[in-house]
Amino acid sequence: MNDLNDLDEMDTPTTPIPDLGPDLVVRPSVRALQRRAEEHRARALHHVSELCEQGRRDEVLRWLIPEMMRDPSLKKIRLWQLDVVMFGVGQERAFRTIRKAKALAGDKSNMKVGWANLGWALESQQDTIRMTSWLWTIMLREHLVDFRVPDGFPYEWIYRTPPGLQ
Amino acid sequence: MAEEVTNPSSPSTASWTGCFDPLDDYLWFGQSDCDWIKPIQMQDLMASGIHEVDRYPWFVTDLKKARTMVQENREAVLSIIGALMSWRNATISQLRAGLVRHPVPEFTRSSPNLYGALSRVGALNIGFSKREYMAKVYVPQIWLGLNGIRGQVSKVTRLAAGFGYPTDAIIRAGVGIHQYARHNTCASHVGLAFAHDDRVKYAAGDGWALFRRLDAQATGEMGIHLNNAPDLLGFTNQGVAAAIEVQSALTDVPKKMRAWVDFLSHSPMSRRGILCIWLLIPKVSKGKLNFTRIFEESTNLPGITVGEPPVSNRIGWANWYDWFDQQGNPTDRLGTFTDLMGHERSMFDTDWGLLPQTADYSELTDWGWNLMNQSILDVFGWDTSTWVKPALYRGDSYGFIGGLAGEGGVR
Repeated sequence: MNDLNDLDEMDTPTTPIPDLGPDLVVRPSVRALQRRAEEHRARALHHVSELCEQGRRDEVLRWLIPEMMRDPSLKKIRLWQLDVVMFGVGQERAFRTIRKAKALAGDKSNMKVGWANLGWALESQQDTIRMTSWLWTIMLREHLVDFRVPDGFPYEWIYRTPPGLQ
Repeated sequence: MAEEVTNPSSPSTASWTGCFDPLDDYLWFGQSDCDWIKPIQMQDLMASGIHEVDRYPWFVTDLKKARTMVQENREAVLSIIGALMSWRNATISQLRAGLVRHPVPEFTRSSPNLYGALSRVGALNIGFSKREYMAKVYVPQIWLGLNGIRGQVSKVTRLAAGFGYPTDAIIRAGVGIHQYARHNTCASHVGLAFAHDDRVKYAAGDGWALFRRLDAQATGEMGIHLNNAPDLLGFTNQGVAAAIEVQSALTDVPKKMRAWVDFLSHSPMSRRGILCIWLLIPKVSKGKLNFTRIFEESTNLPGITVGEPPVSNRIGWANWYDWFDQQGNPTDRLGTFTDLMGHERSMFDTDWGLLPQTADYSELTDWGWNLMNQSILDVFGWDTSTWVKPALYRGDSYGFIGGLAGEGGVR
């Protein structure tokens, strides 16, 4: 992600003006900040897309979550956008998945499915249920996991330890 | 070993909320079954006219409303179905006393309730004491059983849990079996007594007790396909798996005894720690049952002397009222029995020799969340073990109950 560093060099947020004293700085406009955050998000999504194209989907969250901690603007990446870039599904299907995940998590918040983002899904420790439900619903949808009683349940669990070792 | 019966010195047996005597004559009215109201009967009634259904105010006539109730209470619904897959029939008070893991509502007779909704969607048979019809009184116990029609229960689990919920394979094993309510109420009662006893790790019902599930190696060596299963299993802290056969009739006892001797002679105590205890309950008609001759003849069966301890020491019998008092509370003699050689023993004895080590109850219950963690780690590369996960996918124990000692109620 060298692109993100390039952006910092290109558009420095605080430029001191020596004539008016060292404390006075020129702040960028709100619009410029928004544009900058949008660009960050677009680049992050592009990187996720590249990872998935290279078959490295298992690195997505490992990269995205620490990156989000470093750059809070990434918290506004919407879940449906992530779903679209990771699995190439349509917007409607991504919305439906979020709707199912909200029902599974028993979520009572007023968040609309189209607006649900990473920050909302990981808002607090208790709210991580939103993220796990969403990831799980995606995996069931994509047949990446088969939720069934494990083979040998329950006796392989009960008698896992060889006899005589107690 | 024979004379050293370790009767519980500490009061580890405990009663529970809603405990009743399952052999109470008031419940059974001279019968061994209750009046089952089946979904198909209610559908016939609805077809014949809505006024007929009005006699059952607990029933939910509106299918859409019933489906909504099921979806709104999906954890309770899945717990009830999971428990009945193991225990076959039980009263609602027994479910509330610990046969289910999730709290379930009471049965309201005068207003539509969850059980009425489950009857409407085709999942449950609901049983009322025959005394209610004959004497026009309300009996406090109400029984539940799974609908025996293939596919009906699976449809309801799909309705409650959505796609991909793993109950189909287990339900298939249990449909179509008619069990008499009195017999199964007694088995569930013993299961509850075990689950409330701190010397027992967990108990499981008939649904988990098939010989070939319990010890596949032994049935493989026997070379025959047995569908035998005891009525319940109790796993003690020491590693004994006590298989209890609740018996109120002599039907098929010699045949079952031959199967038990054969099975135990191929399953050494050190592998599974299995004992077989015939728990004799009085007949409804109060007649005497002569088990003595069958037990005496069993001592001549081939394989009876195999193993250490020998099979003859691992099979025995006990009377219901040795284990429970007249109110249904477990006594200090819970778990004791007389083996085929006439020696007094207990499933809680500490000198059963080499026994297998068994896992704790918590390891049986969270398999769904463990699967979830592992799958998310594999697919997305993030460890979610500290994240909160939906209760629905925790991984049911499907009627394996344990760890209720000291809690005394719904948990």
